[in-house]
Amino acid sequence: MKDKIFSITKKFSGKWIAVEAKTMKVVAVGESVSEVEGVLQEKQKRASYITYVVPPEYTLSPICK
Amino acid sequence: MQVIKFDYHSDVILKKNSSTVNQIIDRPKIPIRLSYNHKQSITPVLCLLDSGADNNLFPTSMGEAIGINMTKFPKYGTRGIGNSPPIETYRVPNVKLLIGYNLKPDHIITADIDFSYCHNIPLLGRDGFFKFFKNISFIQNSSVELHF
Repeated sequence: MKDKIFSITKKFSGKWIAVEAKTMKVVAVGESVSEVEGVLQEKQKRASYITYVVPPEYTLSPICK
Repeated sequence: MQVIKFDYHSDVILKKNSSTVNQIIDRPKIPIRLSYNHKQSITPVLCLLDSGADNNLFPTSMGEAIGINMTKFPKYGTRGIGNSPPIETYRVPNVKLLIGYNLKPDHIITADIDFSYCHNIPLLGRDGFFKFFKNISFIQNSSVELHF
């Protein structure tokens, strides 16, 4: 499973992807959530979730007002 | 008291200037669908639980996907750590957050969301999310529990 996660990160870094959770198969890719949802509708596919692939060189920090 | 539990989501960090895996970071991300004015998203988006964030901060494309016109809502400024300038956000009130992977949500809350064109990682903050729960438990590198 870690190999799959690594492969997804490298291939789709900085993109939005729709993933089928059981197989970890990427079923749609786009530059935004709406684009990914459009691709899913067009292909008539269902996904378990949509996520942004955090570029692998970044870490995340808190944000405040 | 009811509890919803989600496993952490794994992200990969590479070594600098290399494609070798440095570490896998497991992050507390939970599936959220949005609903506004009778329109709702079909596929959940993984959002980061961020106790350091004051409000919910989402990319505008999540709102636009359910027909929200950002320009109708008041503009605010949001800033993070360091000295980076504030980013422009649009505050949309009373958006329903449907929690869970299934079409029938595990739980629903109604909260304000700040949307930004300059931000990609959807964040669930204290005032927009945490306050709706009696307790949120982070089981280190494993799972998160929402108690309500």
